Amino acid sequence: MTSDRIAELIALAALGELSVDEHDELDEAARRDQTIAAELDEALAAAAAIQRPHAEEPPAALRSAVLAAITSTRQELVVDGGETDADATGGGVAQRPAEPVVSFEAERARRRFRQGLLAAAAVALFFVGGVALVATDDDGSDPIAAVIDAPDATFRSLTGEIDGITVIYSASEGALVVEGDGLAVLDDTATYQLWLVGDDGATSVGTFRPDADGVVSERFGDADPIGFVLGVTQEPAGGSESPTLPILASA
Amino acid sequence: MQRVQAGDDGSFAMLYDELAGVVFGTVRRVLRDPAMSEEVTQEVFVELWRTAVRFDPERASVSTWAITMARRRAVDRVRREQSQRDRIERSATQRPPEVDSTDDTVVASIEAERVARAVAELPDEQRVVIEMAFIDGVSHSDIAERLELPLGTVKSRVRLGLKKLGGKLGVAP
Repeated sequence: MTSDRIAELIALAALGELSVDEHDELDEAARRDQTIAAELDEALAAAAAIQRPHAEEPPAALRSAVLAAITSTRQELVVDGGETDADATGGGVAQRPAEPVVSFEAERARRRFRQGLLAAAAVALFFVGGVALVATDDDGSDPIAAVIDAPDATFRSLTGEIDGITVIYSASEGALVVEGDGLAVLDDTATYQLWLVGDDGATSVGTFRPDADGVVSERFGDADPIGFVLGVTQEPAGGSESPTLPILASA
Repeated sequence: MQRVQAGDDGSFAMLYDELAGVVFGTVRRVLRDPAMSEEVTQEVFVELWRTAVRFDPERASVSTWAITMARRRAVDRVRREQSQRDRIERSATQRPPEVDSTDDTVVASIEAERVARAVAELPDEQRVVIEMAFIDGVSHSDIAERLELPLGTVKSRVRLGLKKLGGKLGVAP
């Protein structure tokens, strides 16, 4: 490997832009040559030094969400030979990018929705059922507040042609909530529809309509948005099997 | 960190308190969107917890490890979001990211001033690229496009700039 190639890979590592193959290439070079390892570590340390003074405190609620999330996350263990049980390559900072922590969740969501999307009729029934479940939740709790107030709730603001929609998801509740304000009020022939957009295309979460004041607050069970792009479209009343462009808002 | 590696969630909470600002700040500069930045910050901390055993104190400080991971996670999210959006809406015009003033987030510390001075002393061609990449959170391909430079030149300037900064700052891995 040429020194120019090493320099290129070190720059990409500092930028966080190495592909998996490039990472493996650099990792192998660093294993063979301690000089390269030292150069890499120094570059990463310098890059971190530039970024460190620009700290920005996250919202306080994130702390409890993180601490709740790790309670259900198994740590990798060291096995014989110093490798981890996840077949980690190298140590320190030059590591194979770990699998996204959401991968299993995303795959479960894909399977769940593939099963739910066998037919258009099934889709419609699925969402009617979801709404009905909320409406009949008479145990005294507020199912929407339960998601929003859950310690592991994550918030995503959608932007685009229309603003004002936030999607809140709680894994512990197994549900997401669509909150919106200032939305255009639709007549009876149209509805908004929320989609999860992944590698396999778009999958419907459900439809929602704002009230006369443009406000919406809707809970959807059995929908896991982690690892997906969220998109909102306007569809004919009852919803569609696939999104009708344009995507009005996304995140 | 050793206690975190041993699975002590109380120590992890202390680690969160120490690193939350730098992780969120790093992610935020790349992603801009506050809600998405929260989500990715959470992913970073879950990954820190899950892969704690891989941390090697001889190669990096904990904060360097976390910042490196945060940057990579944020870049991955940008790529994934862009790829998926392109797939469903190739002709759509995306809203440009809001320009975020980073000045008000800079901690006025001695260390910050020292870093700022070191960056300012870089040759202009390296300083501009370093500032765009690590303070404005711009990808190297976007830097190349904005400055009308070949990709290789941008990467070379990043590498040379970081090497000089490493010397000026005396950074230890």
